[in-house]
Amino acid sequence: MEVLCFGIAKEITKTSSLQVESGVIQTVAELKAHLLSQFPAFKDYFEFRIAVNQEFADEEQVLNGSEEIAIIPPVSGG
Amino acid sequence: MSDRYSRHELLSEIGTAGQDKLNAASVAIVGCGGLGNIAAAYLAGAGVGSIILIDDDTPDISNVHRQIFYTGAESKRKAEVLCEKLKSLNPEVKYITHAARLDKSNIAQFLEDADLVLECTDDQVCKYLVNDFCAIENIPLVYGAIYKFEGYVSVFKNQTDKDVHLRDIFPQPDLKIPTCSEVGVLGTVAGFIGLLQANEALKYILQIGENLVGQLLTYDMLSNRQMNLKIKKAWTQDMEDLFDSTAYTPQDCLVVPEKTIAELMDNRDNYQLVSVMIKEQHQAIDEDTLYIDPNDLDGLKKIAKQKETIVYCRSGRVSRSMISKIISEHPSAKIYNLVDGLKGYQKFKALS
Repeated sequence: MEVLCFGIAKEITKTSSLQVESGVIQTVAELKAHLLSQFPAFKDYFEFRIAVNQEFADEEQVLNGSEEIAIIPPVSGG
Repeated sequence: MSDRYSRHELLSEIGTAGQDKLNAASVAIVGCGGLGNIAAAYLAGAGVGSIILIDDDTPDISNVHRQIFYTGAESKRKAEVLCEKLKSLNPEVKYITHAARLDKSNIAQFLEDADLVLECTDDQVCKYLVNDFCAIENIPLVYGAIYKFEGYVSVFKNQTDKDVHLRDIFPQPDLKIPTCSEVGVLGTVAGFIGLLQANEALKYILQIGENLVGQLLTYDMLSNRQMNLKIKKAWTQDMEDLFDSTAYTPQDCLVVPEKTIAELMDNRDNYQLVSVMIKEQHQAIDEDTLYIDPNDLDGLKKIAKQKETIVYCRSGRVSRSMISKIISEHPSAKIYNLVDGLKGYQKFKALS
């Protein structure tokens, strides 16, 4: 599945669009666990949010791999 | 028809009635930097009746690539310098300046007369202070934030408890997220997002079009890719309690996660229970309770790394402060404060 990255997630993953092997990932919680294991730097920040099909998703939300998925971290500049 | 606003009044969606709404509105702009400069200029031009400008900072030459109303050589505060520029742009507007840093002690006074607030600072803690205050006081808030080439915008209506706000998206301020002065920003990103904030403010006052209510607009200026992300209500804690118990300083701005004594007892094996009471007063809740001296923050950190940890002291205040320090360094730590500390346990025991 394709995961779009915003803000500091771009720095952490070093890309704006991440390809994730979707075989074992069935929920948002599993996707987050996968991202944490691939990119441990996410642990330095409070929970980043995952948006699925343009909606902020709960941890339990089921993924089938065809959704538009984005990592949305907080942003603080002004 | 006044010539100044004739191009507004020509629009059937605005007309003289809409322009009267703008002339009667009072809008506060918190932060007169990159977002605030542009937003303020367009709101002044639009004839918003009174504009409250809040910023204690003085212009710096490194600001000027995006904060276009400054030279960087001024000795006056940004709120005052911007006010002078806006007066020449539209002298018919009433301007109120507060050349002070917005904090918990002055926010009620500074935002007292605002019908709508634009949050334009580059300060995480201030963004949460303004969010929480506006949610409690039912003041609509136009939120904006930028990072390098990207920006976020949303409108928090704050009219009922069901209306979503910043804490429904990101429950806590994250002080590790870098600001423009730390990682840089493309000047036009600040202008663009500030302009979007002004646009949302005008539509809200005029009651025209669709506001970004219940959604976060993310805009990537490098790719021009934008998303309108739907926000669900996720925050459940009482906002007034939160406001009362938070100092809104970098040292005291985090919401410490809590567990009740019942949650602990129902799943006792899932947690390490740690007392951080003063040694002479320490009372173990059960035989598996660990003890850590209240000055031994590193000791508590080590324990929290091993397993989900619930911490208590006599009333919950010392434990809360220790946990706050740990999660500010390690946001993913699974560490909780025991609600009401040992007192809560004693009450629970007396009842059961």
